[in-house]
Amino acid sequence: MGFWHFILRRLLFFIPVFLIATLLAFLIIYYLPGNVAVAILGDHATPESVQKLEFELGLDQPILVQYGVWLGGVLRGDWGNSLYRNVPCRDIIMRRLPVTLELVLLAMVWSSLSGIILGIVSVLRPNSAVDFIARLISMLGQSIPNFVLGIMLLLFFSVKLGLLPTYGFVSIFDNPLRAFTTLLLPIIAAGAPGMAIVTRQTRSALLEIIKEDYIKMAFIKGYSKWEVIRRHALKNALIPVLTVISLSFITAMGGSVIIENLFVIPGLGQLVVDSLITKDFPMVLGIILTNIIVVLLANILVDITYKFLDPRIEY
Amino acid sequence: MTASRFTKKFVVILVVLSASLLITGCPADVDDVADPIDVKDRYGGVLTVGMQSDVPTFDPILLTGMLHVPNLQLIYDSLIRLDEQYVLQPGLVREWDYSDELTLVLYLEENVKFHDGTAFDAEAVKFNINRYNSDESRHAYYQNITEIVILDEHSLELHLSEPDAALLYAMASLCGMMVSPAAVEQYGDQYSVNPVGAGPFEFASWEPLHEVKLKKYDDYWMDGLPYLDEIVIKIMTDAASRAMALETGDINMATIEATQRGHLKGNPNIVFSTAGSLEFGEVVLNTSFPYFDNASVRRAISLAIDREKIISMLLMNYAKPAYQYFPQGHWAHNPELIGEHNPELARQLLDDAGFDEIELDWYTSPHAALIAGSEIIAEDLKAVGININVKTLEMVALMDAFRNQKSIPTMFTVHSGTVHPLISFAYLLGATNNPGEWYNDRVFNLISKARATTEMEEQQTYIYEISDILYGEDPGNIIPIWTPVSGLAHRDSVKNVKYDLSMFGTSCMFVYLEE
Repeated sequence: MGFWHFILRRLLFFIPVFLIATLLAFLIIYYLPGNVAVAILGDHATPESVQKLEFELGLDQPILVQYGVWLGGVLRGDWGNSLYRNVPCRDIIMRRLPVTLELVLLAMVWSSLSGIILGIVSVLRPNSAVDFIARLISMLGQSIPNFVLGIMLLLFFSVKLGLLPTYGFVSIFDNPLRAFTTLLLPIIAAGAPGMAIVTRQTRSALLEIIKEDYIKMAFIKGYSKWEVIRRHALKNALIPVLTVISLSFITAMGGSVIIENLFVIPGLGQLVVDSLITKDFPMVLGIILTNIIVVLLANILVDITYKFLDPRIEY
Repeated sequence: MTASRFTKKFVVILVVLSASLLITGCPADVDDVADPIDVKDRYGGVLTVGMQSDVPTFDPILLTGMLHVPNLQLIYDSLIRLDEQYVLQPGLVREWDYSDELTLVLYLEENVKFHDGTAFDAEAVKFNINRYNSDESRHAYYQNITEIVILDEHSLELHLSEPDAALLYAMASLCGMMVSPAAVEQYGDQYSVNPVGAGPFEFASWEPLHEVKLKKYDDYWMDGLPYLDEIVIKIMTDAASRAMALETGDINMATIEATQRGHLKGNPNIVFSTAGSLEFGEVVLNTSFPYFDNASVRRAISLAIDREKIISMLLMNYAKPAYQYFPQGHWAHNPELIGEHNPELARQLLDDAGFDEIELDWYTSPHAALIAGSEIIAEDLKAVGININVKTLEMVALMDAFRNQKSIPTMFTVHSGTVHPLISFAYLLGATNNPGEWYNDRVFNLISKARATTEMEEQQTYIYEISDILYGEDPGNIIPIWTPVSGLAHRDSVKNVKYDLSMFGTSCMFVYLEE
């Protein structure tokens, strides 16, 4: 089976994943106690007012009819209106998706680069002070929850030193300098767990590979350790690292909820929390649909990168 | 873990924002007295406020609860305003008069224009009242109005089916907000995201769950007001984020939780509100469940709970014990009703009623403070022989299970308060919070009497008596526990701040920023 055939199959796989994921989410929201009518009426809901609103919102319809109406709309390009806020779901999601993607991708760039560099440094000087520090940073990154790290960074750099703003979002495409000041801390916090995993993965993959015969041969040829890693070991070591990075992308998309809340970044994270609380199912399903598309595209991108790193991989 | 964070956030929103925005009586924290006459040249500036939750809609006929009333008042103003004691004051209605107990005449301010340039007149008021009474509305406060007669361009007469003491108070809250009829016609079902009122600030933009921008309305009917050029409401759901942003001056005002206050207290640039709140922490009981159908058990629960302990351990002393529905400073608060923590009497009541040990399910939402509060209460109740099993349900599920499904006996939560005692009674003792249909002849007769009079002193007498009954002989379905101090705080560069009920509505027009 050819590579492009494989990619096509991946794309077709989208259909069942989309149907199963959205239907499952819909069923969960539907069968949990309470619904968006209760959330809208809140503190002052009476059984009668809830019933009236359920009728107005179509929540009294059979479950498959409700899902069918939503699905039919999506197929026509209409993602429906938020039941809680009466605004078109797709408009809000599409305004917020680039924000989350920018945050997550920048966090990934930072975590991947710093992780790979730390991994290499620690392999160059195993069991040295540098290796110890690299491993310590990696352990801290993994063990400190990112919202705790975020608060610590805010307290030190924003509150204590007054160097960076405490909240906000400016896109790097609008104003790179201001984007740097507003996004630096969120990116460090969001990328810390990824950085830790990439460091460990790079280190262990490199340590494994430099035991291989072809690496020993390179040493015999007289290359320095750095040269050997750069020319021969790194590319092969990067394949498992790439898998870790792609997984950390998916984790980071989910983890953005906390970072976005803490740094007041108007991304999908905040939106999904609120929509779940209020049981606003068109919005939740719209976000799930978006996430499926993003993850699918990310996976395809990773597959293409695998192919580039190791052309021998068969599909 | 994620799900629990979601629900925590939701309860935090309910608990604290309502606490902070519905602010009462104490005339504390007034930088200087708001006086629009002598301060015409005051500098404006941009007020950036950090808040926990976003407005779900800008259409007052769709908005329910008190949580977001102050935000909407910035855009709409209201027919009638309330002072620090919640006493009625003129607003868009400059004068009102009951020609008899079933006829109310309203005289409107002249020269008032909506933000779209159309006139605010008697026709507009009639349109709005009819709209509040329409099928699409979520309010029922104007249902006693049977006919609206326009007398002239700026006065109209309302005919009522029965005397209604709460009517003018409804006009001082959500239902007093007047929308532009032309805008409703223009935007149709999109009006809720394109609001047009006659308030001091015009709607500029809204990014749901992120930011609301309002700009000064240059043709506001009160001369020289408002001072501020712009108000930016930032939705910052994380309590720590708000506290840090206020500390650094990235925002000028915010709602601050009790747990963050200690840290900010030492900062000389931050001014805290010490005003109270209409809100209260409460245990709501379904009185059709075993034990709760017995008044002695309900009274024993109230007597056994050590409110001071909860306030010091849980709310860092930023609250006061509540033994009645209305906070100190409110005209309906009965100053002679002194509540107590008396476990001995509680035990005695249970003995007299023939109960030895009682086992109960106790439900709350999974917010850390409410769970901790439940644990403290569990100890108190255990001491008198009532053992509670604390269980949690996510907020929307909790409300649904208690109110609609009627499947759980208790709900430990926070009530956001309403502006008039009669509206409070209707809500607290009505279908919403009284699924067990608790009924006390005397209480409901007194409520009817209070509703039938427009004399505040007379209403006050009846309400005092109701509070006495509800605390003493027959606690109903609601046991109030605490009433919090407002969570609002601002930087000292924000001037003329007067924390009261309408802080985020009408009072905001007096605020300005130091140049």
